[in-house]
Amino acid sequence: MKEKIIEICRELCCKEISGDEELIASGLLDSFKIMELICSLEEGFHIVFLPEEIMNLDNFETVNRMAEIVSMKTGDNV
Amino acid sequence: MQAIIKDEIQYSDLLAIADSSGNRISYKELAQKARSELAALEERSLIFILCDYQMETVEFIYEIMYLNRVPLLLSSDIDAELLDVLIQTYQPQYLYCQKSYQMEGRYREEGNFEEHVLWKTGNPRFEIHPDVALLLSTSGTTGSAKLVKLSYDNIRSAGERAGRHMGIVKGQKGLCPSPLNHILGFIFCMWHWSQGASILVTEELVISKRFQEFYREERINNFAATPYIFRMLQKVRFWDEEKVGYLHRAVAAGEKMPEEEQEQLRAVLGDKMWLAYGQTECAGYISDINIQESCVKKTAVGKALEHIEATADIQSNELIVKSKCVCMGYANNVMQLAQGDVHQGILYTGDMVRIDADGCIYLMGRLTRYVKVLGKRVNLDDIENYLRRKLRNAEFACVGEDNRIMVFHTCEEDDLNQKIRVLLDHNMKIPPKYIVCTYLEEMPRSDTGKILYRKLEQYEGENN
Repeated sequence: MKEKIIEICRELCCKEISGDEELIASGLLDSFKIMELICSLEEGFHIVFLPEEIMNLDNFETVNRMAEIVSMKTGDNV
Repeated sequence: MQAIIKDEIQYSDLLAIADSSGNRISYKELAQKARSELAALEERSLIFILCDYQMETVEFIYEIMYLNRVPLLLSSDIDAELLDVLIQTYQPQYLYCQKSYQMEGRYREEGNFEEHVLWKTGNPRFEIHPDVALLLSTSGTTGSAKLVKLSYDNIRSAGERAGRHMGIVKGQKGLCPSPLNHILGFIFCMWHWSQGASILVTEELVISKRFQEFYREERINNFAATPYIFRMLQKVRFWDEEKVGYLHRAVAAGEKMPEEEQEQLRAVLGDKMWLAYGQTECAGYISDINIQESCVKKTAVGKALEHIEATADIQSNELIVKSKCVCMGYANNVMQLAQGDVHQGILYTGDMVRIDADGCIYLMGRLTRYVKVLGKRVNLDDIENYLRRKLRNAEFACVGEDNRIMVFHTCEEDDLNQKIRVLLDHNMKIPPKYIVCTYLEEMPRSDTGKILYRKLEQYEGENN
């Protein structure tokens, strides 16, 4: 799962991404790309984020955080 | 002295700008601040402004326009190489940017604000025509050195008439998350300032909780954005009863909104939601349609505003606009900044249209080589030229449609497709998702050597 998230982020940011790298605070993801990311995660893992989950942008700050919330929603292990 | 808004507003105590940190400033205070802090700037000087969405920047733009200095609005994340090209081409006297930009040693500091610095370049002043009020790039962050020249008359007229048309009045608050260097972001301010209403500013991401809180606390009346932003807001179920209750008007502009999204907004915002069509060359707004009507007149971009005469050319179907809002013309070099109005109130828009018996305009295609990506205009020739400059070992040709750019090249290099995506993403702000790269052994050309774009469009169709 984490590899798939890294792949999505790498495609969006056009660079190699590590698990704990800050993507929003660093400016790598602007609001457009965050939205793209959310849509890609939803499509890729067949999940739908709740508005509260999206508005809490900490959920998408690092690959590790994304893996946690995706895992919580799919019931799969990270 | 040319005024951008009426005296009764510009010297009033009405709130002009406020931000999410609690800063507030009235029109009168803006005028006083401009006179006390910026009046020493050279008369009719050219000032490059790298626009973020901080209150300090919105204030600065207002103040230097109030003082009749001439701003060129650019994106704060403009490609450094393009900025250098623009500086060399137009020789500005000043550059306003965030403190993080390293300009020490290159320019002299003229003003030091909380978050920004005003640099004096030392360039001699060239003549700028007295009617020129504002310069905007034809393609945002993505392009060439070609600029649109807007006059005081254009801006006043577009601001006042569109502001009145939308029913904006004193005391209302407007928020527009589109960048100020794009016509929608700038003219949204003018719609409000021309009527004595207020502009609210925040750098919070539109899908964040803090943005929602700010929006709710300020009881925003008017909101404008690209359809993509509306899509984001729908995703977080932004429009609740409270926000819609305070809302006077919401406007989506910049690109076509898909039917399904129109349907959703129709249900949530009802007749408060409008779809607008405009161009930088016409200071923004040309026509609009209420979303309740757009379900009947599908694909329509509405009727031209009262002060705009819109006709379709009999032979080409090109939309021709006659209005006081039509820009003075373009500049490709510093000498052209001195030229007067060459358009004389008539604009050939490059868009092919049909106009029905009610005067409703329907877009049918484009005559020019540009597409929209997330509501931003992208000139395909600019992309080709940019890639040729950056990657000299290949030929490039681009075709596309809105939100999809096909880049064809003739280089077998393994990772070239990725390189192209990185370059266009980092330097021209086009997300990789909207770029498709294709290798061709040979570029299709006519007998005279011209690239056959029609043939490339066919390849695109085949690849789909």
